[in-house]
Amino acid sequence: MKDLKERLKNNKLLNKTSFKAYMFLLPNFIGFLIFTLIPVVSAFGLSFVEWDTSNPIEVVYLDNYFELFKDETFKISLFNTIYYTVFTVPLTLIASLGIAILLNKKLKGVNIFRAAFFFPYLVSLVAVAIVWNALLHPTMGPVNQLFMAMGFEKLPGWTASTKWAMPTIILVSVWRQMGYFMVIYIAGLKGIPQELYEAATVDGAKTWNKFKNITLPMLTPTTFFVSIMLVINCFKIFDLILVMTDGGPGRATNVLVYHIYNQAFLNFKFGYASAISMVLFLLVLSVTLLQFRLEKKWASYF
Amino acid sequence: MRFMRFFVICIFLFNLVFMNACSNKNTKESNGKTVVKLAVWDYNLAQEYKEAIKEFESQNKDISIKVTDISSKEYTDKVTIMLAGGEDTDVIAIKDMPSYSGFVSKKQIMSLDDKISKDKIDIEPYKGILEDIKLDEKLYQLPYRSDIWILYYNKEIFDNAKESYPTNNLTFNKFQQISKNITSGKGNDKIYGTYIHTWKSCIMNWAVANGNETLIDGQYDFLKPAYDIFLKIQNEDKSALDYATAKTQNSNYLGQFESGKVGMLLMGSWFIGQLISDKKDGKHTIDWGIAKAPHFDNGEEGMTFGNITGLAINEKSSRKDEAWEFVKFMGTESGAECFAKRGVFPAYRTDNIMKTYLSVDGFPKDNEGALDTKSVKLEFPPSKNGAEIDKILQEEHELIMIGENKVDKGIDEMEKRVKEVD
Repeated sequence: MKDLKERLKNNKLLNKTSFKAYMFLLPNFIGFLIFTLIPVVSAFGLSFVEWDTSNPIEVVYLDNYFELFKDETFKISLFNTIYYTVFTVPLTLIASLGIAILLNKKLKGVNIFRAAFFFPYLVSLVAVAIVWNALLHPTMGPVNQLFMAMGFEKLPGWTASTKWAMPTIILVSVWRQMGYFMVIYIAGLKGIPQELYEAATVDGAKTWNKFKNITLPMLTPTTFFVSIMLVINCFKIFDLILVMTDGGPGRATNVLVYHIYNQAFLNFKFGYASAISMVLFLLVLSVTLLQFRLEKKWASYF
Repeated sequence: MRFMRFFVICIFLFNLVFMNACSNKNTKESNGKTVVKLAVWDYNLAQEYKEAIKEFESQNKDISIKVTDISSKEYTDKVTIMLAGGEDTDVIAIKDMPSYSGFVSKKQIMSLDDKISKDKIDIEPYKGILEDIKLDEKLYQLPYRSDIWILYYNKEIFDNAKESYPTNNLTFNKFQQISKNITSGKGNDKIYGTYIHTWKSCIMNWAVANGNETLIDGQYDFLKPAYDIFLKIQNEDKSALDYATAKTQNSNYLGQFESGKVGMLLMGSWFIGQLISDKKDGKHTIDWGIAKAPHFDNGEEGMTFGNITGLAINEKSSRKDEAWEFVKFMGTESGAECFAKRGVFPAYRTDNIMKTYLSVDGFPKDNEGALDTKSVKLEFPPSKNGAEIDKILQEEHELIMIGENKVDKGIDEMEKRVKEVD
């Protein structure tokens, strides 16, 4: 009897605290509900209808999804998205890790360099696009003029050619993101106990061996986090494309989100656009699940 | 605990008040006047707009106009979304045909036919353009400007090259020749014969102007002669800045011509007013002239194409009568007078208004016939899938201009892709 009373009291206490917790969560949850959850659910619903925001909604069941198979621009943009992701993720990983290692030393003015590398992440994208377009101008840009001076004859056309437009976007995007992930990597590097390196030095390990056997394994949780963030960011690429190439030349840099934007806000096919978003969602979901599975295999938490 | 409850209640109350404030349509009456909301682009750059609105407000004491200014580049997207979101803008300026068709098919703007016949508006001064912009036999916008494309030239460049000024009966072959002749210099100091802007209309529409085809037909073989001549200018003669450069530099035709490095420019007549006012403001010192646009061998002198800009009324507006008063004002005599005075080519053209227009201070006097036309084709006819076709054509145009696709291949692609649009 006494025991039961005690338990009831405890329970009440628990209820009280969890009520408080929920209340603290509420403001954030309301935001999430209105701006994320409801739109996601309605996008799922919309993908089965035809709707142009004004005329009555027409239910078409799976037609929007069948349409995807016929839509050449969808195929192109799917390919472009994957192309972009496959190159951007590893390049950004390597670049940000490299810089992080270089800037993790005790150097004079190291903070200035760190700030310099982080800077691109803060600058307005529109300004970035204009500067890069000027730098990479096919005939008058300094980059190609440098190549010309070095005696190269076949110069890349950068954003003005279908072949080079995507590599250009990848380049700019790596440059833009690496500073951010560098910061995360520096934090990761700081977390590695110095004793490990000391012990390795005593054992006579060379720099490369230390990197391979201490730094990399100790960084796997960071790498895992960075790679997930990167993959999701890459699938969502839109802003850079819009300001730098407008999906062009032709459809050379047309990516999924850009296609969704065009279908929804230019052609007013909200149903079809939602169907593409669902495909994008599934894509991101499956890649992320795969990564989680791989993480269990590789990542080591100490 | 009590504090938490209080806190939560506060949040709810705050939300309630806030949401009410947002949806409160408090602009209906202010000091007894009806407020009509108008959406336009680049309002701050358009002095003529301000004057016309002032004039309207002084004639209609019970109506005041509230302008929503949107930048030109985002105008179409933003207005479409505003309308879809149920925003209570009453009058919308229509910037191009694809968006006009979109508004109509989404039933967002109202038909004006009843109003026009009720107010017995004389449609003769519109010279037939009202017919061109009807969709399903109905008119949804009243044009206030109707621009035609003409040729602008920089006299100094012609004098220096000892070439005579362009005449009204130029053919495109001759245009290409002249353009080549007056090109000189190198690098940053190069004087180009002409400038081809990155819009597809700068090339495609010359084929439209000289033929019977339109850009929504789905057959594009008729574009070939136009591409041939302009590609020759760009690639062989190099007498125009190449497309890739123009595109990556985001260059604009205004800057190009006003910098004095371009001999000839094919552009719409809105550029006249701009050149006049920029010269007054000291932004350039170019001595410029105008002539009729060139024509192809299958065309005739005075064949050109044009853009129509009009005002439409939101179907959901609760102030349709007042909105119509404003649309009517802008689209007829009084509005046209305001525009003409500022060097803006009005859609409503009576003899009087043309006289005002041609006597604007700074208007090039030596060729008044330049604005006479034999026929004016619409840049893009109204069509349900206008926006989608427009984008496809622009993409394929780009590939042809940067040399990724040969003209024939590009035309095939256009036909193939437009066929898939339903």
